[in-house]
Amino acid sequence: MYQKSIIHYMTKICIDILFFAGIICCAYIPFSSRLLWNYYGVANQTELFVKVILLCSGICCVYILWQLKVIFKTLLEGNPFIHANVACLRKISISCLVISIIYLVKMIFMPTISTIVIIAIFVVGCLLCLTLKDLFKQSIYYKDENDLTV
Amino acid sequence: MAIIIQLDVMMAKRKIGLMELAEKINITPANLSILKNNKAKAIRLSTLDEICKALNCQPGDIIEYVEDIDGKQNEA
Repeated sequence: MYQKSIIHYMTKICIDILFFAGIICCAYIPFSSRLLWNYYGVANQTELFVKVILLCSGICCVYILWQLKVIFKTLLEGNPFIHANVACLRKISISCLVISIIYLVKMIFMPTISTIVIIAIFVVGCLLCLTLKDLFKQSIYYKDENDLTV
Repeated sequence: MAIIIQLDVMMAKRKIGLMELAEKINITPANLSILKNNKAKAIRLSTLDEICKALNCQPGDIIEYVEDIDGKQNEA
């Protein structure tokens, strides 16, 4: 039987906080001109480009957090090995790939070291999610075999 | 699958119901129903032992192998 742990609840709370914080940050991006100039030295010419990059990647990140919320909800209910979670992991991997493509485009026009790090992180994240997706699929197969063993 | 479970036949011969048999062999009626309706993927030897004990029969009375014809005979 699935044993609930305080760590799972804490992780769920963190994901929930990050999800709502992400929505607020994405909503603030169009009004963040002063912040971009004061803290990052983004000039007027590149401001729109940076805002589009941040908004697109921000929306993808919020989507990833939403899918993680769905997965954790099933985990806390005690039944995480379901086909819906396989679909969630596939969507998370696609989102990670989209974010790395977005930052690859940014890299072409505004190369920075942090951009390279972000691209690497999200490419690895995409591959990890694809692997986890296959692991979940196999787990579902073993669970079904076990459930139908009398 | 080519393995057919003839549990309902043996239960009718021994005049025993599903709930009664489930209680005797200490498994849930739901699991026994899965077995009876040929939905089970595997059966533990301990369960088979309990069923044979309860129904006073041999494993061959409950489990039958029917060869597939064109691989589709037993899919219906």
